[in-house]
Amino acid sequence: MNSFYTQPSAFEPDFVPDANLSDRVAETKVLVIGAGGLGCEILKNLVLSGFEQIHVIDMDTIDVTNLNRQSLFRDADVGKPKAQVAAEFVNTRVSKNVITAHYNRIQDKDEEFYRQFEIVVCGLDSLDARRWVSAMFVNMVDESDPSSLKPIIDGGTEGFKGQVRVILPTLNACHECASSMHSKKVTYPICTIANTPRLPEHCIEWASVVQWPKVHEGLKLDADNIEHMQWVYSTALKRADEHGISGITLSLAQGVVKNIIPAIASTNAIISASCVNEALKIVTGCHPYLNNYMLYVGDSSVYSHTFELEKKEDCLVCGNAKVTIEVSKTITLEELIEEIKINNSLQLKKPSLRTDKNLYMQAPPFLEVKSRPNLKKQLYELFESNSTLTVTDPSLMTSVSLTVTFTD
Amino acid sequence: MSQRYDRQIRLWNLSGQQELANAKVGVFGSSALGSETLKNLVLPGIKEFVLLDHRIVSDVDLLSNFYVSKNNLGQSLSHTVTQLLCELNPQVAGNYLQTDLSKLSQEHKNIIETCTIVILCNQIPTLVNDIVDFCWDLGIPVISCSVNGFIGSTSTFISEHFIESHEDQIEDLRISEPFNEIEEYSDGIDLDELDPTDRAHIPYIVILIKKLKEYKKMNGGKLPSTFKEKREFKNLVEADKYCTGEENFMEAVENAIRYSGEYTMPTRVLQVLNSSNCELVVSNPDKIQFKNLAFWVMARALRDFVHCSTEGNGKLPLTGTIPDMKADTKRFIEIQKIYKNKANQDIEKVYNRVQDLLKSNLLKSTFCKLTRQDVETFCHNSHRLLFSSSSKPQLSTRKLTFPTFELGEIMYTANLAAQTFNQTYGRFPSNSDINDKSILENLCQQVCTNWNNPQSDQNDQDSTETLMKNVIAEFIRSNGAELHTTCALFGGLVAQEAIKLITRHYLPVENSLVYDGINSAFYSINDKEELL
Repeated sequence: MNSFYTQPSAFEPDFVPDANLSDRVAETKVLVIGAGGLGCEILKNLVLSGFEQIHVIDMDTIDVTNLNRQSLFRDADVGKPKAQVAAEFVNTRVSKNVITAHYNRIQDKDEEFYRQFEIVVCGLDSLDARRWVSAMFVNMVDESDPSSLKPIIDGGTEGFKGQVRVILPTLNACHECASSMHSKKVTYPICTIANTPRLPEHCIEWASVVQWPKVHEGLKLDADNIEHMQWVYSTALKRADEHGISGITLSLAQGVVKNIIPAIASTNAIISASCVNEALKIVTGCHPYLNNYMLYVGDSSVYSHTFELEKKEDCLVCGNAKVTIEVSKTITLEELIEEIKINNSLQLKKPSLRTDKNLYMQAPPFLEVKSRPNLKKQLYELFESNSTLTVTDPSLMTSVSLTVTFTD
Repeated sequence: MSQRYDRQIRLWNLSGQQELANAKVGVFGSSALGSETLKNLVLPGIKEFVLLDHRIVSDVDLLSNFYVSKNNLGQSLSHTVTQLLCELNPQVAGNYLQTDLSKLSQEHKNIIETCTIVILCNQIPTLVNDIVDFCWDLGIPVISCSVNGFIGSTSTFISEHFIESHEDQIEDLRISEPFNEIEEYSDGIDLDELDPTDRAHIPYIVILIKKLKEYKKMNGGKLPSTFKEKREFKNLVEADKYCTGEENFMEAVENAIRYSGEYTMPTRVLQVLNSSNCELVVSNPDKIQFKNLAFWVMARALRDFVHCSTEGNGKLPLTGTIPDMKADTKRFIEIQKIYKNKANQDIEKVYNRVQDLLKSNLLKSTFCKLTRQDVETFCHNSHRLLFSSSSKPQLSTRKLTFPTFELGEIMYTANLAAQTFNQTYGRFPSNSDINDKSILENLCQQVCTNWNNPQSDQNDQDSTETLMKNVIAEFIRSNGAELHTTCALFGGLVAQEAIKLITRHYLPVENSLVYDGINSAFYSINDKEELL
């Protein structure tokens, strides 16, 4: 690596060669979020690129289906926390303590924890987590303190496809700016599931969404519980038989219920290495870094596309968003919350609503109980047209101002 | 076993996984590029690998190769890497050979002959040429790859390859040329007699077959062929008195243009059927590589099926699957059955032809066996077959000429030149010797004619020359460094190509590919012989 630090780059005229750059890399505090398929590779790549101050956070434990790609785990590790096993494995291999593990949810850590890092590399498999991380680091930016801006390098894969993004919070497009690009889970209309099932998937949805809560009142369906899945499978199979539908398998049932996304070692290797390559270029400046999105597609030959995602002026997180919603004044607060949930520019899961008083709070429990009666009230009983509501949601760090206009 | 591989079987199916589980991979070169490539093949479960190298573990390896550790210093590199890779998956067998790789030996050849695929990592050009030459006639694919600083380059050499492409195709519904059973079914439904609820549950397949009949009647029995005619047909569907916003009619309108044209055979499939191998398999089957024989027997049977007027009559076997569409359960299942039955009849006919072929005198002695399941899979995928073959490359004498000469081609050329430099001097070019730069430039001129005349369609000569200068400077700066991130990335890419070749699922890179870690981009390079 040293020859790159001591000689100029023909592709990055601004680079000033400096023999101390390898020390700089070793001292840079990096946070890796996720210790799964991408995370394992990212950790290994960081260490072999000279980083020595690495922290990794992951709330998950190792499952047997991880072993086809998560290169730091062995059969005997199934059930153990990913972050700890991964850190220990790499530290042992290089005979040096370079990785510190955090077996936590990202939400369990506060801003102070995240502020200690200079750069963040994400290998996540959920949009919610990405959204949370992006919002956390956008909020952390203090214009008077340049060190408060932490570059995020975000990798993701799906089968033979993958992408790498470089987010410079508040300077370029954040995760939320591009929310319209994110693909959504396939859903089936409830009337098809209930009345005219045609596909095995319809029967599986019927078993898991309609029948499970009826038969197992109060028990949440756990897709990782093999007994639960056996029940879904046999219930779906029975319904399929009644309708002459074929093709129900346990594997398909798991795929539908868990929304399983195929994942392979090779794509993870490509995307993780690309993430760390960007981290290295950002920290050392020895070559230009990605501006700001690379798409990789490997299923028909190899295709890649590099382009710049635009920052959205009215982004919910990093812009000055003003969201307006038009509804009838006679709908209930509960119905308004449903509207908000399906609203494309908001994409919220469990919104809490306030005006100058609490309209409905999802948490803590005592506030939830207190505000619950409002759910059944009609809007005109609660506030006037053109009122501005403050909306908060666990998937967002900030609150959103929502103007509600009555159509009648 | 299948639980471990669940997330990948969802991509390449059990058939692809089985191919992997039977595969033996030979890898020449066990530094970071070799070990990272193999990691991505051991994890998804190949049967075994063999790793060849002459080196012993040194400090340099500790800096770039994850599959060595301090206490292996001084030990055999290929042995160490093999041991640590095998920990990744207890189902994979790993072998190694401590061997000189300056030239191809008989021992190497004996190993190569047992391999499904051979991967060459940072090997010198003469060895690459000899191995490609040796493997070509055996039909063993070779991937040769190298990494130089932030830049990687890979080339695939394969004489014959056929695959299931997984490319999105429109469904084979035969709406424009319905087979008897589906036509009778659709004729048996009278939209006027149905109540509105029932009518709203008639699958769009039926609606379109009925409307196309109407269209043909109005147009002298002809199907719509131009886009304008197809639009007219769409308008006709839209104007139907029952087309008042019901979902099934909306689906019919949406699909009107797509399914109203004449049946066409995909060109790629025609290439398979017209291949000389379809002749050879009956006249001289010994000329066909044995591992491809089963494929060509089925391809020949398929061709005869397509050509026979009482069987395929110009069409491939029906795939037998229909997409989901608005319909009540009963009608959907009825139609699904009609398509499935027809598909089974077609498969049966192809299967009978396969068995007849295998009984013929010339093929009997080859002991080629094919089950009904083999033929079924083949027929089911017949509309997305892809076969490619190319002429043997003469690597040692070739000189490249590219139609366009841009950053990817420049990096590719410089990389070939750097490999030749290493072969001659036993080291990579660097700034420690002021002559290295001009030697490297001379080698680039020897490798590629564009280097003397750097014009490109999109760039003027000046900017192309600047790119060439910058790339040369970068190769001098790199000094052949196997940067870990580049090796890890390229190891992923090379393994992915190997998996596509082994599983025969998905489309592999046809010729060569360059990874540019400076600009985070991949470039396809067409360096086929025909360019000469």
